[in-house]
Amino acid sequence: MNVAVLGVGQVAFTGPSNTPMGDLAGGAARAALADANIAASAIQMAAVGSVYEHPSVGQRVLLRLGLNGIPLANLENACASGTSAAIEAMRWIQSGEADVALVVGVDKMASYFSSGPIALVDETDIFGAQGLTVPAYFGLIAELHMAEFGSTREDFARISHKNRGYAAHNPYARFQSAPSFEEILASPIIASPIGKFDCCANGDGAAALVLASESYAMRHGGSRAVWIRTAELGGGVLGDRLFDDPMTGLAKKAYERAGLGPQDIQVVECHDNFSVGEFEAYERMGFCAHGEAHLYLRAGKSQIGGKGAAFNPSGGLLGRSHPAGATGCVQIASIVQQLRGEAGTLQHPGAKAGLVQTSGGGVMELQSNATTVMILTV
Amino acid sequence: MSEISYLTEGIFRSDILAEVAGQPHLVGSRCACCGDLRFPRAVGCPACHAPADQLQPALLSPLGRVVTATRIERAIAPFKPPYLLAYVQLQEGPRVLCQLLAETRKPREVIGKACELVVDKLYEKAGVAVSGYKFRVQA
Repeated sequence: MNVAVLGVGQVAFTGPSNTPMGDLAGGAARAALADANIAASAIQMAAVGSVYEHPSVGQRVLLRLGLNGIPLANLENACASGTSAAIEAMRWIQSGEADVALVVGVDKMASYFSSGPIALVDETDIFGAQGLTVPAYFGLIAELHMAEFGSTREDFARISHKNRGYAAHNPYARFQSAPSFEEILASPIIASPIGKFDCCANGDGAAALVLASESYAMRHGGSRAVWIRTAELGGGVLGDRLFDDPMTGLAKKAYERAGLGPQDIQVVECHDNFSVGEFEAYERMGFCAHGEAHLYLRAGKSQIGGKGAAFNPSGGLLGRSHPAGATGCVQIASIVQQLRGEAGTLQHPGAKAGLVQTSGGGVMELQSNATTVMILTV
Repeated sequence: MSEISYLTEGIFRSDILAEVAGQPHLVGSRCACCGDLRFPRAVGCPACHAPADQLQPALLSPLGRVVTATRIERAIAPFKPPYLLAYVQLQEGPRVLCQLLAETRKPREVIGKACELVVDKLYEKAGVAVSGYKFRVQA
C-alpha cells in the first residue's frame, strides 16, 4: 500500500547553538504540520530518530506539541536514524494501525562534538587500535578507485564544489557560502585523497514529516501528496565496503518493488557524509557502470539540469551539515519539495521520481550499521 | 623491538597475535561447522550461524598483498600522523585493516605490492609503548 508524505518541515541547520533540542524538533514538527495543513490532534502515531540525544527524546518532543498518549517509537540506527523512523511510521500506516503519523529527526552534533574526526569507541576496538578514522575508511575506497579506474582527487572536489554550491541557495543549510574549486583542492588532506572540504561537518538541526494512508491523503490535500513507493531497511553486514555495500542490494530490491530503475529516477538525496559517499553511490545504485563514477560526474550528469539524476540538490550532508538524526528526514523533505516542483532555484526540471539513500555506520566490523533506500513519486 | 611482548589486556592478546618459530602470525577463526575463515575472529559464525564454541583459532599466513591504502594526515590521539593505513589481503582470503611500514608515503606506490606481517609500535599511552601488528611492504 502506498503511503503519502503530506507535509515536510525543518529548522535551519547550524553550528553549535544554545537552542534546546525540543525547540529544534518542535519547530520542525510544527512546520511539517503546517505544510500538511493538519492539526497536531490528527497525529495517531509518532516515530522519532536521533543518535546522540538523551533517552526518551521522542517523549520530550511530543510534549512540545501538546501530544501525549499516542504510540511512539524512538529509533537509533546511527546516521540512518531519521530514515529508519520514517520507515517505522510507514509500516504502522501500511499495517492499518495508524492513518496519520509524525516523523521527527533531531540531533545537536555540532554542540556535542568538537570539530575533527570523531573518535572511535575505544581502543578495545581492533580497528580503532590501528588508527582508523572514519574519513580514512572513505580514503581507502577512493584510493582504490583512483588506482583501478583513473579517477582523481579533483573528481571528489567536484562533488564538494557542486553540493556546497547548492547549499548556498538553500536557506536551511548550515553553509550559506561556497568555497571555490581551488580552495577545496588547496584544503588540507585528512586521509588521502580526502581533504577538509570532502568531509561533512557536524550540525545542530531537526526535520519532520507527516505521513498518511492513501485514503486519508485523498481526503486531506491529496493533490500535494508525494508517494512512498517503497522503502528498504538493511541492518549491519559483516565485512568491509571495498567491493560491496548494502546499498546495492537494497536499491535493487527497491527498484523491483517500485517497478522503476535508476533510469527512471530524476533526483537523489544520498549519504554524502564524505564526497566519496556520493561518488560510490553513482555506481553502487546503478546510475552508471562499475568503474565509471568519475565519467558520470565529469559529464555533469549528477548536476541539477544534467542528463542523469541530480544528486543532493539541497546541498547534501556536505552543504547542509549533518545532525545525524535529522539527516534522513531532511533528505526525504528535499525529495518531496523536488517532486512537488517547489524547490525554487534548486529545482531539477521534470522531477517525477526520487530516491533517498542513507548509510549509518560506526561498528567498523560492519559495512554499515544500517542502510536505507526509499523511492518516492508524484 | 627485539622481542614480541603480548599485553594481557586490550586488543593485542594472544588470541589475535601469536608467535610460531619466531615468526608472528595473526590469529583468526575457522568455523568447525562450515570452514568459514575470518579475521578478526568471529564471535558467532556469519556464514552458518554456528555459536562461538564452534569457532576455532586459526593461524593465518604472514604474507599478503596491499589492496588499497590511504595516507592519514589528521589522526585521533594518541596516533601521530602521517601514516599509511591499508587493507591487506591475506593469502587465505581475509582482508586485514592495518598500518603499513613502507619506504614511501604515497598510497599509489604500495597498492598491489606484496607485504609481510611485523610487530611494531602503534602508539604510546602514558609513556608506555603499545605494540601491535603492521605489514611491511616489500621493496
